[in-house]
Amino acid sequence: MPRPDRDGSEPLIDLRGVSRHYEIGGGTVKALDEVDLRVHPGEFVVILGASGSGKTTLLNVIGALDTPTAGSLLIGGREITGASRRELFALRRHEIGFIFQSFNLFPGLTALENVQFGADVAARPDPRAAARDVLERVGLGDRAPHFPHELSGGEQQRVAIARALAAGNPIVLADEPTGELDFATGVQILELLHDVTHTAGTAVLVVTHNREIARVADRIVELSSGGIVADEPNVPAAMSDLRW
Amino acid sequence: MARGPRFWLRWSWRDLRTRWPLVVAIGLLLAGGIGLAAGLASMRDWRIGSNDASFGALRVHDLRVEAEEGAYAPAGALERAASRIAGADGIAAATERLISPTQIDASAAGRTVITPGQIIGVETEPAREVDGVEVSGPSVDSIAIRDGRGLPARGDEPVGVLDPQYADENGIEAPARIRVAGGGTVAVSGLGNSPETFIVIGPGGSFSSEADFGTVFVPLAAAQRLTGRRDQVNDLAIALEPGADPERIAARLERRIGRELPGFAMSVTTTADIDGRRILYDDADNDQQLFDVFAFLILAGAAFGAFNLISRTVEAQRREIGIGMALGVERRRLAVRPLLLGLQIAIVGVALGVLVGMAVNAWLRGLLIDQLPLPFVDSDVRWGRFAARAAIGFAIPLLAAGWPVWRGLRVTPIEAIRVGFRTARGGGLAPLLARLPLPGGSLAQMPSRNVMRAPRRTLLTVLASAAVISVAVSMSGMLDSFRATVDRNDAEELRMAPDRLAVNLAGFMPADAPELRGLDDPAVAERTAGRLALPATLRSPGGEEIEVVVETAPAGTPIWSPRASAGSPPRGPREILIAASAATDLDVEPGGRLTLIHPERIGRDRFRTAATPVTVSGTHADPFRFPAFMSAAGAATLGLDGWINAIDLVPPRGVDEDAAKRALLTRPGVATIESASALGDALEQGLDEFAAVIRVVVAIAIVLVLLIAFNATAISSDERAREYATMFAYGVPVRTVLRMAVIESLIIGLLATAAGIGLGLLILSWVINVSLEEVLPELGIVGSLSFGTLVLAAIAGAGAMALAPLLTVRRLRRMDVPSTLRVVE
Repeated sequence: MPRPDRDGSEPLIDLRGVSRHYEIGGGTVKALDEVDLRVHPGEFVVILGASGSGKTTLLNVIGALDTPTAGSLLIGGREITGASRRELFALRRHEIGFIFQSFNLFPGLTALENVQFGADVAARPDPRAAARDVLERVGLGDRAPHFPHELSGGEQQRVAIARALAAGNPIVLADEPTGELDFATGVQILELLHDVTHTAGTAVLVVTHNREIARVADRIVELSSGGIVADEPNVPAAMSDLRW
Repeated sequence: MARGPRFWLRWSWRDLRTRWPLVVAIGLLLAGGIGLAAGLASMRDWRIGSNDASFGALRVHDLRVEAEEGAYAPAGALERAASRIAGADGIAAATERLISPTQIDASAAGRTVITPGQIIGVETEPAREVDGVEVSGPSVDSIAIRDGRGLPARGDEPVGVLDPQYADENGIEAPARIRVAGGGTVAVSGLGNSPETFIVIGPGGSFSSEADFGTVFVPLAAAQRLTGRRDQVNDLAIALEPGADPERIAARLERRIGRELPGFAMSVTTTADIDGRRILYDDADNDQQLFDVFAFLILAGAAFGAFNLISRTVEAQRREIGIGMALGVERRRLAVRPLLLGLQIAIVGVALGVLVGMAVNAWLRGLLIDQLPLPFVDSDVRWGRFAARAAIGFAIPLLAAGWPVWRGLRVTPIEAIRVGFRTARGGGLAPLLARLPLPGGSLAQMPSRNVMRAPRRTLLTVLASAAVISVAVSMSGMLDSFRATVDRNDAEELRMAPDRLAVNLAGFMPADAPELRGLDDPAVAERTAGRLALPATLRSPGGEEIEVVVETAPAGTPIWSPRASAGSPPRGPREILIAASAATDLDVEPGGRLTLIHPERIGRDRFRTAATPVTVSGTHADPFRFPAFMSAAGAATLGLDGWINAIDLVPPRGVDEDAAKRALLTRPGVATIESASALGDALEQGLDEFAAVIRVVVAIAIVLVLLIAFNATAISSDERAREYATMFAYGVPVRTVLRMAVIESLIIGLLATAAGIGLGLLILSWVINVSLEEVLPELGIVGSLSFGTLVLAAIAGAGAMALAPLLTVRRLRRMDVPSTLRVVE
């Protein structure tokens, strides 16, 4: 059962005592250890942590790409631990959008078609129009017929963001989205994600090891050794104040 | 960076351990190509060696005096004439024979065997042994005994040796008793054949199947009694001393016989004129050309496939090569690791190829021993040819690895290391498709875009599969073409009376001869019509000659008559209707003039060879080249006005073919009886045996296509891992991803099928118009590709390709999506 927070709103993502342990070489690696986390619609959360802190595992568990070894996970109020493979695929189609560090665009599709892919998969009505609309919103309306190899890194990542947004799903998970970009482009991407969070009411979780990025978040969750060591609200800094 | 070779070998060994299924799969692909190519390469040597051994051991004649139909000479006269020519010391041995068409009844309990055949009466010598085989009968054109006993050295009893192919096909074992036309009986003491009967050739040089035309060798005196030709012969076989000039001796012999035996129409032929020998030798050469083409295509298919797959595997190492370059490793050292992969594949390919080759060799040798009608078979492994193919197979993967390594080493380190270098480096020809308004969303578009994304790879996969498919198409198309030819012949021959029987008489007879009257009996025949049928030669004004069987239009109730597909049927005494293929070969059109060289009767059992100018009235619809037709008035041109030597007959209603043959067998004057479609049936039966070979080659081709498809899919699946993982992250079900892979593979398969059919048609066209035209010009094979062959090509190409991605389903289901998404290359 979903638990309403003190302000009465129901969390979109609700992790309760979630652990993810791996058995490697006769020992146990605790990638996540009894993590509790709730994220609401319209929140821009940055998960911060050093390499090996468990932040990517956390993102994978929330994205239903990995399953917890203990605890429970509710997405949109629905318990998904123990869900079937088919249910997990459906959940990803209708609840979650992904943005990856290395973009992972489909090289055989144009920018518009890559974005349309998100809308197609989520079975949105008129996916072509939805894709064109989102592509305009990320400022790439004029690059619609171009293939990924004809776009710059920043443009490719904006297309990837547009693909995640075109699905129209309430959660967007971004794994090091600025990792391969220069500073200026990275800032543009963060601005974009920030806008999306507040205009569409989407919950955006960004995983990064970069503290400067964390400054733009509404909330910063810090991980260390698989556990949350800090979870604080944050007053987002202006993009112009960021220093790489 | 001063690492020694052990370092690279160790690294390569680790590569091999992680990649061994791929190495084995590509190795298998090469092995199939090397093995089949190596196995097929020895066929000509085996066949020529077997031909030489068999014709040599049985002392095939150098010259033969061959009487025209109906011409006979007194026993001893031909040998005497030969001994009197100038230069007779060039003749090492000569032996007279009496060769006569007959009907053989070899029926026994539970078996009805009534077929046409021939009795060959021979002079007998004491048996000798060659390589463990008993050689019996005459000193020239001897008989190799396969089972039982040969002919007695002395005696004139009707003890005979039967053609083993005929016996096998009809389930006859020696000893046995058979009846021949006229009611005589022959005790078959053994099974054996001689050089002229290795290949079954029916009367007039027509083809017959082993089951439908029997040869029985008997002592000369017995043959004379069985055929009512006491003290007569019609054939002389001569072996010459080494160094003797056959042409000069033949010319002298012809003149001498002409002087000593006027009215004995004959020709002197040489070893080269033996139809069966020509077919065996020419067939070996032409088949080898065909096998070489097939072997080349299969090897090319394997080479394209291996090149494609190794290239892709080495390209996958490009980032590592880039890192090495960035770290300052010398380029030649960086080339070692991917080249070692090529070496590993080469070793596996050749090692397995030797095994596959040995298996193919063993299979083909077994097939040769089984199928070749030769008593002596030389099937030693030709290691030289084997090694040549294996060397090619060894070189292919090394070259295939060398090319991408060379390309890889030309890239700057920064380009090679760049994340996403491979995936984002370009859209290939995909932009072309982007401009096409294809239906469906992004998922529907993806397979066709992926096909166009890497046009070079797609082309290599298509070429590899197409080369192999073309082998299946052309081989299967050969069967189709033979069948279409037979069908067309049947349609023509059985056009007017489907149960028509052709009765060949024991010789030329007046149409109203008393012995033929009984054939009009309604209990024997519903309808009959007599005609002439005799071998002749047509010569064009340019000197081109072809052999034909000239038939005159039936006298009496027409049961069958030829029709003209161009021009008109023959009307005047010197008009002739010929096959369209004959017209092409003689370069003549309706209205054109030819010379007909034919036997002309000049008295009882006396013929001479005459040359008569004739006009081509038209061409007929029969695909075979040898049938030619004259009007009833043409009989006068042949000196046979009012005479016949064949009868068309329709059995009474309710009487089946065997019963009709049995009723006719004992009739006086009847030599052989066969269905009007006998020639087509014979070819059909020959095809069934050929089909077994074709089926095996086609099966190997399909396995190779499957291997190519599987390897291509497995590597594509590796390359696309991150794309698939992205799709899974977005919730695209495995079945949808699989469907897309199947569609992509299917598109490539369809392209390969279309290319394979196109290439197969070209090969088929070459086989029919060039190769078969040389070996079997008489048949006028009609090129045809059946629906079944197209389906086979589609199954081999599109089907195998489309199914291959299904083999990756387990890997897709087990994919570690998070790891795959984070792994950059």
